[in-house]
Amino acid sequence: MPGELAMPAAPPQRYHVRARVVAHEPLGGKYRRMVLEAPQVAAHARPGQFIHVDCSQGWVPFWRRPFSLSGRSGDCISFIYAVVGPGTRNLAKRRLAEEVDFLGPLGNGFHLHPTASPLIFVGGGYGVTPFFWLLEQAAGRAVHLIHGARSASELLRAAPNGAQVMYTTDDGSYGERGLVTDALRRRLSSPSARQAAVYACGPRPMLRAVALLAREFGVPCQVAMEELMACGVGGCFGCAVKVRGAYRLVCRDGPVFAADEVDWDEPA
Amino acid sequence: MSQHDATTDRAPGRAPAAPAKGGSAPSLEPSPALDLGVQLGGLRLKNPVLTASGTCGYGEVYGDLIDYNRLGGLMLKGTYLEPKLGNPPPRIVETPAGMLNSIGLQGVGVEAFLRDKLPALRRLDTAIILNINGSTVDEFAELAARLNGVAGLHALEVNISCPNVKVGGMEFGVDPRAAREVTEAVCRASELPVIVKLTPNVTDITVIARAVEDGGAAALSVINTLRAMSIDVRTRRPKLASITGGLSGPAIRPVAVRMVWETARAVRIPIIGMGGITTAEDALEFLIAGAGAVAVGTASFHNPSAPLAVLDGIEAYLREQGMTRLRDIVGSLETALYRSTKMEEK
Ligand SMILES: Cc1cc2nc3c(=O)[nH]c(=O)nc-3n(C[C@H](O)[C@H](O)[C@H](O)COP(=O)(O)OP(=O)(O)OC[C@H]3O[C@@H](n4cnc5c(N)ncnc54)[C@H](O)[C@@H]3O)c2cc1C
Ligand SMILES: Cc1cc2nc3c(=O)[nH]c(=O)nc-3n(C[C@H](O)[C@H](O)[C@H](O)COP(=O)(O)O)c2cc1C
Ligand code: FES
Repeated sequence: MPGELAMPAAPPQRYHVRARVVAHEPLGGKYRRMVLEAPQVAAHARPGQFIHVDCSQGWVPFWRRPFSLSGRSGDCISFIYAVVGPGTRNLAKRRLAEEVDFLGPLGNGFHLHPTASPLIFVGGGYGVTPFFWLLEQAAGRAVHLIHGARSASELLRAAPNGAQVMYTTDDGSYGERGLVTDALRRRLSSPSARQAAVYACGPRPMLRAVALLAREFGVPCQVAMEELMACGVGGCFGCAVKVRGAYRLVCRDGPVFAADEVDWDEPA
Repeated sequence: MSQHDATTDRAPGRAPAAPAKGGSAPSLEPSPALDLGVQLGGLRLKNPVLTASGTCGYGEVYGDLIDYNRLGGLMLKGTYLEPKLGNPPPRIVETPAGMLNSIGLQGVGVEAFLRDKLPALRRLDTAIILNINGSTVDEFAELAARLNGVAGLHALEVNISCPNVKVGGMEFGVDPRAAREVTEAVCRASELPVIVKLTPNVTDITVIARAVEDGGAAALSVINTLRAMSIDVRTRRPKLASITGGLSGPAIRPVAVRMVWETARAVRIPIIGMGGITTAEDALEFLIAGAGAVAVGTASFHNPSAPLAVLDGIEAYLREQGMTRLRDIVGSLETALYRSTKMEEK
């Protein structure tokens, strides 16, 4: 059913803004949530899109850092990030009422299948963040969220209200021991999942495994991919992934791709 | 990078929401008209700030984020006769004060450029310069000829300096005879002003610069990226799939300024200086060293409005210095002072 999953073209409304921090809070573990007041961006953004944030001090680090949007409320957008390196450490120091310089909304976003049921969201590590918003968009429909990580400390356990969440950890320190794909296989094996659709975000090996499972069970699947990004807006051609034999740009043509169109066997 | 520290406190002008205006110091005197115009051979630019090739796509990338009409020109992404797949990922690496890239000139090919990209560019009030590539001299010439009589193109920039393609690319740019041959072939085939882009990956850039001048080039672009490499020590693998790539950004600026200075003393044709320009002060270094114009590349990835900030800052500087023409600053490097102090020390 690839035809049903035609990706919408990236919307042209993008902005370069300096937005006020209206909330910035720890979410447990390495995670923090930042809420920015950016009315134009909020008006045009959709789940699965990302923003490209200037996390530098004195031009260090030199590149901006991309983060998926995790929600919208009125004039504000929010994102959830893990503090892992110089950029995110700088970001963690931003205080309320300070300004954050970012580009967005960028990329295409998820496209929820109109009739599929249940909708299965699979988030590996910080790859779970876009699903916080997608869950809101899917309100009223049957949704399962499978969220996994290597260990409990890398899980984001601030799942939104009302969602059916299954946690997995590689080491069994929280939730089920094993990979998200073990849980996904079980879910897809159930007769009630014949009309399911799968949406996944996480490291490439996980996405590949999810894509193969979706193909095996014959259900549509979209994946939000990750690549190193310099410009974030289609200017440098750095964030290439091979899709149907040609290099496409994760920042401009993605980050969401139809899983069966990605050339998974290409090195990356 | 101490001169950039001021930007961290979010001085106005970093985001287009509040663009900085040069020369806005309160003054009752009407400011004298500033002539920012630049003549590059047969190519007239309204001001000296361009975008560097490969960093703004075909001009569509930042068009909605900044006003391209304010710039002197856009140097577009490298294009071949045929579409190019580009190199496998990973293609980019962040490095101290810069980055490596090995894009491999992924591009749509000239026919798709003319059909899909150029029409929108014709609506812009800025010079449009196409970066052309080939794997043989004949390919360069054929591409140049194909671009004759095309409305909306103002000049060609001949890329004999890409370090990231297997055939063609840099091999033309490191050999004076090959460099001259390509230049002559393109100049013969083309009706447009021909700019030739030089590589820094040579022992003496002036030898190549003179060969290209003799070949008939209208202007030179100096410099392309420096061949470079970065390794992941955990996996002991190169961070780029192509192993080596090209270094750009502030890290290469002092090398670029030096090469512009050397080139300016060796040739009579004008130079477009580039390599790590992020601010007006950076750009002024190039102009003082002898560049007639400048291009902003990698800095746009960090700050899309960097080219505009550079332009505003150049304007403000000229006013501060009481100058009325950009060309008064070009090549105005003052070296006498150092010599006399040194002599006094003796
Ligand atoms: C489209 C997209 C959406 C993302 N969304 C989120 C999100 O919602 N929450 C979140 O916590 N993280 C997200 N990331 C990853 C995030 O961008 C990186 O964790 C961040 O750039 C790390 O920066 P740093 O300077 O703190 O650490 P660094 O030391 O620079 O990097 C730490 C680790 O992150 C990797 N990394 C660095 N830059 C990137 C990048 N551009 N893409 C992927 N990995 C990178 C490095 O290879 C390294 O392994 C997203 C990445 C992409 C491409
Ligand atoms: C991602 C990227 C792509 C580039 N593509 C081209 C290209 O297609 N043709 C070319 O002549 N130069 C290309 N360059 C070189 C730049 O135009 C410029 O000469 C160089 O990056 C130095 O300037 P900068 O430090 O301001 O970026 C590219 C540079 C980068 C970073
Ligand atoms: S990050 Fe530059 S093209 Fe995608």
